[in-house]
Amino acid sequence: MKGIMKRGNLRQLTIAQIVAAILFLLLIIISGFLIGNDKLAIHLDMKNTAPSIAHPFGTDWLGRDMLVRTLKGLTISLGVGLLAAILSSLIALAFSLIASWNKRMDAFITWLIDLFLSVPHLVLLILISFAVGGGFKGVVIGLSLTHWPSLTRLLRGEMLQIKSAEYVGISRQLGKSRWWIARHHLIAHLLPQLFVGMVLLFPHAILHEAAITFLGFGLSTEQPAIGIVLSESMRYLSTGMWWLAFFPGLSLLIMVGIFDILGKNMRKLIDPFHGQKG
Amino acid sequence: MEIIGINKLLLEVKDFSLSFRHYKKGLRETKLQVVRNLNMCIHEGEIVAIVGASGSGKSLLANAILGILPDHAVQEGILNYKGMPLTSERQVRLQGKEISLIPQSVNALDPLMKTAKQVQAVIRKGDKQAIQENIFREVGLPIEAGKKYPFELSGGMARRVLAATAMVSDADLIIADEPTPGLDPKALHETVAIIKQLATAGKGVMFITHDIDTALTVADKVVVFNQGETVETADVADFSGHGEMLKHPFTKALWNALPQNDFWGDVPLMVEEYHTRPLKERLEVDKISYRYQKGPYLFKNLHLVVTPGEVIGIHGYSGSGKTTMAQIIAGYREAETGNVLVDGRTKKHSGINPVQLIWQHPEKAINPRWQMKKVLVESGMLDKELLEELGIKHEWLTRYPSELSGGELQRFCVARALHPNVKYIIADEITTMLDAITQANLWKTIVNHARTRNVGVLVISHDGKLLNKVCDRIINFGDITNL
Amino acid sequence: MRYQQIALYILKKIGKLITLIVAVSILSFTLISLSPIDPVQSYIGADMTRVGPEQRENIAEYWGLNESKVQQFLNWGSHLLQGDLGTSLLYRSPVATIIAERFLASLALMGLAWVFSGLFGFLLGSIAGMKEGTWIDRIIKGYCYTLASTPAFWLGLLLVMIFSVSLGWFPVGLGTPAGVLAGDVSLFERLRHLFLPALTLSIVSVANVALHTRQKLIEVLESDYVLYANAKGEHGFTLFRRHGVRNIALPAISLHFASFGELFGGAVLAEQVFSYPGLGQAVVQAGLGGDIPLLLGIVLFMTIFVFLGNLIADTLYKVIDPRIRKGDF
Repeated sequence: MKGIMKRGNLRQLTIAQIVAAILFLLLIIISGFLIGNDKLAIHLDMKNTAPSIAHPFGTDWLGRDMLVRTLKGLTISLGVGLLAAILSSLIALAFSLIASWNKRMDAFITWLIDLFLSVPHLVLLILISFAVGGGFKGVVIGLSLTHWPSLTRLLRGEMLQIKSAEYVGISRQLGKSRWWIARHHLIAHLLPQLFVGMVLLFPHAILHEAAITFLGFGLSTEQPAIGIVLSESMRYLSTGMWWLAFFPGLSLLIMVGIFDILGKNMRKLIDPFHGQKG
Repeated sequence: MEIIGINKLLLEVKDFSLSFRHYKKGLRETKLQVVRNLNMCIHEGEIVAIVGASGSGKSLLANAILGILPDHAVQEGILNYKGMPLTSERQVRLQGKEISLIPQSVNALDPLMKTAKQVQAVIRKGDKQAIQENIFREVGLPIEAGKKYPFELSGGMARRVLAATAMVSDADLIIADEPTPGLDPKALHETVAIIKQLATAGKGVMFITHDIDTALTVADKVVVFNQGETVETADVADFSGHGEMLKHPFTKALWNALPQNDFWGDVPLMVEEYHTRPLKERLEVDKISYRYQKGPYLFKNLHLVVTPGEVIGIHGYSGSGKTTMAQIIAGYREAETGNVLVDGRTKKHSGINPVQLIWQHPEKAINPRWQMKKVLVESGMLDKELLEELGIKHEWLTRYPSELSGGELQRFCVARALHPNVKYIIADEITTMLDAITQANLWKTIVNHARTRNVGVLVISHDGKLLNKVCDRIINFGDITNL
Repeated sequence: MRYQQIALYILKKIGKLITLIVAVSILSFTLISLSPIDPVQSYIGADMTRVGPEQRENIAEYWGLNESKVQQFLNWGSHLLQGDLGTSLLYRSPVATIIAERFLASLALMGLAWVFSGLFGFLLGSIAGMKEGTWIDRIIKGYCYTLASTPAFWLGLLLVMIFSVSLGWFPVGLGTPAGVLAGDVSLFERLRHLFLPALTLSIVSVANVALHTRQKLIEVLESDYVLYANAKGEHGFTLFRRHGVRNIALPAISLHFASFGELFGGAVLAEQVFSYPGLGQAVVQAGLGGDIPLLLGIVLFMTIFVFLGNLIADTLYKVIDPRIRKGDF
């Protein structure tokens, strides 16, 4: 019975995982929006309480409920990640199309990819945030400008491979125009890759958002971002208030993990060759 | 089957079936039956050929016997070796010791290990180096070849290393899985000699191939395989005349479809005097030269003329540049110097190129993400009559390339090239990987169209018998390369 | 012929490094000049109220801030060519000295983590790959995926909470105990401060190596030559020793060299959590404090560092892989 479940329903299992992941993420967003800012009010009488049923994640030094802060923080992270991933993917798409135009452009884009990959990610993020002056805008711009190279490289590779495929050569000899070939052979192949690539960019973007906010270059301290929550918790670590750091970080980990699962399952579904290996 | 002489029975396969669980696009699971009711046996000193179209599941039989099937395979039936069932524990014990494989692909050699070491790894006792050097001499490999990595060897030499590995292993049963695809006549002859040598040494050989012609030159017995089922087991001697001694109609058809036999069947051939046409209309390959980067020239000032309605054959050794020449003529590559003239013009055509190339591997020539219908729409070839003539079934049109065999796909590629605006067709080893019946069918269609519509055809192949059958004249590639 | 090729290769790489440095310089200089942060302000720091407009003007004059951006870049560039990276505003000492000092501290941290995560990751990846689909593979895979989703700084915080706060085995922060001269710190004390940041960095880096090794090994195990090896009766450890290691070691080592950028990213976070006085902490402080010379210096230095890693990765292939070694260099 177990064997049948495992083998027989790979498709259902994959779809179920995708649906569950999307539902979970929706839940975070909805709860983040539904919770009003009044829930973040300061209750000095309830400060520094350990996790309990009333406050599953505990409260901080101002008596704010950590669960509410975490949910709010995750919603912000999600928004930043979403925006950055979409912008990055658009840049990647544009660049890979430019690269496919001719050899010169291709060499230029390859050089640009090398350039961006040769500065450590986080350092580049710090530089860009520094240039833009931090804040929400700075983080989104920074993340968008630093996450495109790997996806561009992937798309460019796929594009090159397809362009040199025998069946595309044949299409050309059958008298099909460049545009026709791009529409029928290239795009149909690239779109799913782009989409999956975008979903797989989320986790990176979110983690980097949290990291850079934690370092003090990202979102401002007024915003209840996870990075802020964690960096504030550092000051209280030696007092033994472990819940200040533990739950928000764990929640972030879970959300990032879910995005990763979502992306990998979608890839499995779209690309049957990955599916064969299970 | 009866026991031949007093030789011991090595392998017995009874009612053997094999199926796969497999996933298609979107992870839809299907069970794919690949082998059904297979029956055969091999004795000591005997060579048994298993003949079937590529993709008919022959190689899987080899893997089943060796116990190296992938996890999602399900097998049923009886596999006996020396009278006892082949359990998976027994298979692990016998692998490489009593049963040994000559694999299909030269990629079976570890790319990062020197060849001598790979052969020595199989030797279990004695002076490993001496034995290995001995066997290298026996199969005609220079001793220095042992110090090389596989990528430094030619395809033929790599094959000999694989054969050598099987020979040193002391195995009693040797399974040769398609060891001869696309070999030129010389290499083919050598491989066949090595395999015969193994049988003379008392080993049983299972020779898996799609090429009935080679099977008949090597084997004592032939097991014919069609769509995963054994159709007939026949002695080599039964393949004679018009196949009167063969029992099954499929075997007969296969035998008769060979170029040296009744290749054309009952299809009436339109034979016409092609050389009386005005010479202005012709495909002229005008002194082209080509080399890769700064390597040696593949050919220099190569000159060739194809007139409408004419079928010309070209043969030559593998790797001699025939395919490159074909790609230049059909517009896929630029020659270093020289021109390709169609009816006197170096055309910059809009629309379909009047010179169309049909490639050797149809699965690469068709977008794997398209339904077959779209492939035909792309080329504008939906002529029902033609599709019927090529044996393309209606239900194939809604399938994806991965759901069709190489032979079935190649029919689509041929259909595509028979566009009314095409005046010249270049066929580069297009039936090398296909079974004899499909081969005959494709050539009938192509030659017929060439004659009726005055299409010039350039046929590139290793198969001398095929060229003799379909071509008006045959050119040795070595004679026109000017090197 | 051979030497010519090697010389050409080296020349090419040097050329690449030079264009890279020029491009990175222009890029980072442009970014920094876009910044709304006033460099004079950050130089003056907290003394703002005591500095009159005249003095501000003098400072701006001194740093050449009144000249055009292009001129500023050229000034900076020409100093750079003479090996002068400028003076740090925050630390009031030459940028080159600070980078050298800080980098040594970071190198100890990154080096330890690099070696450890490489060995451990390769081991984990090999086990998972050989046992693909079994429970042990699932555990390793799950562990790596979890790590890949783990914020590095959060992991650091957890380790501090467990080992420093609860158990008290390790100090909470700082590369050396406060109030003790650097020269007087014993080796043991140094290691004690190094341990937790290095552990954090190692744990985070393991995932990448392990997953890559696993993937490569699975590819190798599906290859024709392994199928053939199976047919020859080679299984398990023998198979791994003969064909596995040979074919996955080089890609894994190369990848590990090519991951210097990620490594430094992790080091920045780990140093911040543990207040470890390395280059990562310096870059954060430079960024937050508007210390432009230091920031530019570190960016350039890290570019060279990452480039070296990539160069080694690339060269290893050329030197070791016979297919490339004996082919075109």
